[in-house]
Amino acid sequence: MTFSKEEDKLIQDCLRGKKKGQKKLYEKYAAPMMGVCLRYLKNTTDAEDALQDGFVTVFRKINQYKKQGPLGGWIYRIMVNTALAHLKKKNKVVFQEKFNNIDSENQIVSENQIDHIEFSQEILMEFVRALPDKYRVVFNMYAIDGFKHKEIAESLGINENTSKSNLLRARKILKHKIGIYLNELEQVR
Amino acid sequence: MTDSFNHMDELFRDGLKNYHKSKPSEKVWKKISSRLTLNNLTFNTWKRFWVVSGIAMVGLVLVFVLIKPVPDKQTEKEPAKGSVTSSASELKESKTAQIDKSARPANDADAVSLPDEAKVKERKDNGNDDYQNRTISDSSHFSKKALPEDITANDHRLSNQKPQQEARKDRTDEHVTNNTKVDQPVDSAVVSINEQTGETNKLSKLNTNEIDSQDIENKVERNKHKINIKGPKEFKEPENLVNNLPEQQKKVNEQGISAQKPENNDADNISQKQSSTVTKRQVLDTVPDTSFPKHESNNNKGASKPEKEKKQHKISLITSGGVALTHRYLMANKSIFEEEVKMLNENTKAQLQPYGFIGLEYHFRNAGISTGLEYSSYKTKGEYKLDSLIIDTLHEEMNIATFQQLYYFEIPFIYHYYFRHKKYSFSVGSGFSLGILTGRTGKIYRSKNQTYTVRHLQALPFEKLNVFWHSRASFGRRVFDDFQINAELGYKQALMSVYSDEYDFSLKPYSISFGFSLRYYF
Repeated sequence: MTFSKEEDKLIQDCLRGKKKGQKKLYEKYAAPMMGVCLRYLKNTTDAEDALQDGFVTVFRKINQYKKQGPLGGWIYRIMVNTALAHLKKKNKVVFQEKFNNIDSENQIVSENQIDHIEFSQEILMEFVRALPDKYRVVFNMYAIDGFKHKEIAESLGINENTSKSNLLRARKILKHKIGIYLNELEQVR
Repeated sequence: MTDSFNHMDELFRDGLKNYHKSKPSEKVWKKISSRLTLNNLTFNTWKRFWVVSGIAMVGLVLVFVLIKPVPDKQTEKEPAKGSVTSSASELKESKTAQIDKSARPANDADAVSLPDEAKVKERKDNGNDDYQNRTISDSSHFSKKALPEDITANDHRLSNQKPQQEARKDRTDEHVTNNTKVDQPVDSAVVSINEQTGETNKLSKLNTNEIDSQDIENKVERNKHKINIKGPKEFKEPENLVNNLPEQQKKVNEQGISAQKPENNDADNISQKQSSTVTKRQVLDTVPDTSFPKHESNNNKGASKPEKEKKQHKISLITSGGVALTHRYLMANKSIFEEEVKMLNENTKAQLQPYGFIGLEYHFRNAGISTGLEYSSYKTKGEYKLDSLIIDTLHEEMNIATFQQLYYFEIPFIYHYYFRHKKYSFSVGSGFSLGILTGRTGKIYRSKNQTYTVRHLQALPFEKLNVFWHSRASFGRRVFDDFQINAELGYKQALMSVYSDEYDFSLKPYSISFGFSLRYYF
């Protein structure tokens, strides 16, 4: 794995504990990592807290970075773990949210409909953040971040079947939400 | 089924994978920066603790060695003020020593330098005995070199006293003479105290360089008839007193007389009388006062008191260590958690942890205030079932074990009260300490002893500072003069939550400790 000179210098500065290097690294990755945190945590304040903890971990553990993959990927992984840790800390979140009619066929959008519509990032983010925590985490990890069910199960301390089950529920909820959104859009037109 | 969602997954993946439209606020970097700075300053291992403690101990010892007051040898050697030398031989020794100390050439200006007017006045006002002693000593300065060996004539003069009425008359004359002669130019001064009134007068100034033994002898001979040695009314037996003196003492006194002879006749009169006065004062001060045995006894008591005070140690160095059983009070900041908090408290188990202390104690008569550095850790373990975590997606109950350990450097201020009996002492004390959080670890385990999340608790918003209340009781025994060993029991309670205010829980650890301490008295 080769690194650009700039990134290599950035890592060296961080290893030496130089504030200037640390700030540059932060400025480079803060925005995308904030997006990661927002996907996992509904609240912006919580996301910022997770981002803060995540970067502190990055700077503390940067000596453990083996340069076997891109630095961004390593930081990304740390951010996901930190966001998960924050979710666990905030373990009193709304688990009681019910979705009674998610199986009603008329509100589930078809694959063809999804293919023909363009969604903005903000809309997609709203859909994801509207998911219950436990479904959102699994969906984020599997569908967006590319984790396997085995990894998800290990990370969250659940079994693989639970992970699969949660993913399925998340997808159904998302389809349901997208269906509602499209219906509302058509009515407006 | 899974394939049917592939399009949707791609949609979200493409749309959100590189989502970076939300920028964190400015304060995030400031917080990160400050945390990184703090992190560089934290101590979280015993090794660091011992290194810091060792440095602190060496520093403290050095400081106290440097500031330890050097005992005044002069004060230690001399008997207490007002005490009377018990035997003639001791008196002789002491006076000999005094002579040796003051044995300087008579032409040495320093040797004859006397207190200036201001000092004399101050001493007069205070009625300071030191002044009288100084006069004796100064007389010796004069006499050591300047006097001839045959001073027996002076002995006769001392013994040939006139009746008291005549003495009073002469003394009046002496005052008149004094007032007329103080303006003479001189190098040094002789000062004495009028024995009846206690008034200090500057009598005359002498050029001591010009004194030689032959001249003095001639002058003494010339003014023999004028020399009248008078004392106060109470001074009834000068002859006897002088005769009772050891030979060395007599010699000293006599030297004192002849050393202060001025050049002219008038001055001779004054100085002869004055030096005689000084000599009598010497006698009064140095001869055992057998007529007041009670006074002597009191003086002896006074002499023994400082001896006791010397053994009263003011500062001691303490090192202690032991184990503490730590536990915690967990409270909810929001009412909705009360049930869970109750369950957590019920399932928390106390853990045994070591502690160490190094510090100093300042002692009063039966009390002391100690301070220093204490290193403590507070570890708690809780085992309970959870069913509301995100991980419990099937709503099954899960056995969770949590470990949490906090490390504090504490700076205590503890007041002790002592009960002492011979070599044993019992003390009770209480106070507070300022705790600086230097490290924390936390782990959560599942029932299968698999690590669920390591360092999860590090993400919690811990307070950096805390205040602890201390209560202690200790029982000790002095092993040597300066060393004491103690067994101590203690109780500590955090007065503030270890979590910052915004967190949902208040957690206040406490501990019951048992340990031993070594104490070295400076």
